[in-house]
Amino acid sequence: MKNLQRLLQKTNNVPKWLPILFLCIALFGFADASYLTITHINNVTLPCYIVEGCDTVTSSKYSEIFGIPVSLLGALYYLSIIVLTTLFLDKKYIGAIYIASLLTPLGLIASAYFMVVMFGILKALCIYCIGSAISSTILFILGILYITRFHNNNAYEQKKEGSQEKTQKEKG
Amino acid sequence: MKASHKSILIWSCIIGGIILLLWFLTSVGTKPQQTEVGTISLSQPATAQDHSKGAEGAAFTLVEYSDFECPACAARGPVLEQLLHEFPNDVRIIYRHFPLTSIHDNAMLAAQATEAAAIQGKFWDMHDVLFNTQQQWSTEESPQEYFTKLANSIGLNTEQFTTDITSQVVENAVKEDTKEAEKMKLPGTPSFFLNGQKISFNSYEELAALITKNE
Repeated sequence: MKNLQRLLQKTNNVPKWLPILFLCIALFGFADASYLTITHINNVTLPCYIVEGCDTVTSSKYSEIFGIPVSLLGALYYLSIIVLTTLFLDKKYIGAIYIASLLTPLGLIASAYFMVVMFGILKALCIYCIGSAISSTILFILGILYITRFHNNNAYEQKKEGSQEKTQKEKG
Repeated sequence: MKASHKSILIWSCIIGGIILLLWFLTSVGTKPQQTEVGTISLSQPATAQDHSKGAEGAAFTLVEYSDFECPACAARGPVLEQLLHEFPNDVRIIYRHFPLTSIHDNAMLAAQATEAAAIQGKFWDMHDVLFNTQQQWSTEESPQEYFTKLANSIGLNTEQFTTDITSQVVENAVKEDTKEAEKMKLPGTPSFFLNGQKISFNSYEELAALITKNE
């Protein structure tokens, strides 16, 4: 209960660039993953270009898990980060950006797995998949940055505020 | 600005942005990327040496520059088959090699496999079986053994096939086609020419429309 209250607390202690950058990267990742999903669902086979390669990766058996295109899962992941970050920008809830940060390792692990499949097993190139891997890596770095630098600061600040209130009460 | 107004503004920007983005991506993602067409015309007209299928002396000749390791090329197979089926007297299809060796390790040898099969008169059988088994051999380190198995399955003399596949004649046959493709600066595969003019299509209907329009 206490934890929930803590997540619903508001903060002004996070520099504005952090959630905005978070949002931009998540939007980029979302666009990228949505495009892959749309082409996958429409079964469009992109031609092979000498320089860019072709869609060996997105038409492989690794592109689906239990019949669900993995790019759709990616798009939902980015969408949840977008919603949480927007919630933070709007209401300044600590919990919103905290949960978004906690989600980022998921994206990183998934991306790492797909990079291994792509280069290790399929030995093919998929520009859009690399795009998604880059954005999930940046999100992970930003998430770590938030948790280590700012989240604890918030906690510290609240503790301080709490103890100040306490002393004020005692004085009063 | 009132806090509630600010909230509405933020959320409508995000939701509106996402809807616009999805709309845009859907319109782009439904069709394959179009390459520049119309500017390239076929440098080498159809000859007797070409591998062709369909009616001799047909009014329409469709030349395809293709790569056996390219998924999009494999996907076009049924479309071309349907075309031959629907226009048995009007269409001839010619296959030419354009293995994209920079991105496909086994494409060159696969092309050579069809040329080796052609020596025994089974180019199209090898063509079909290679496209049908693309996912099985495209990731093989050394696919020659697999190709020999395929050769056996379509009734080729495997001993002769094994000698032919790496022979200079066969290699040159593939390289000649590739040289033409490079000369025309084709961006990739598959590339199609209808009666000498580069065309692109996304479905059987679009291809058939090009034929009926010019009939």
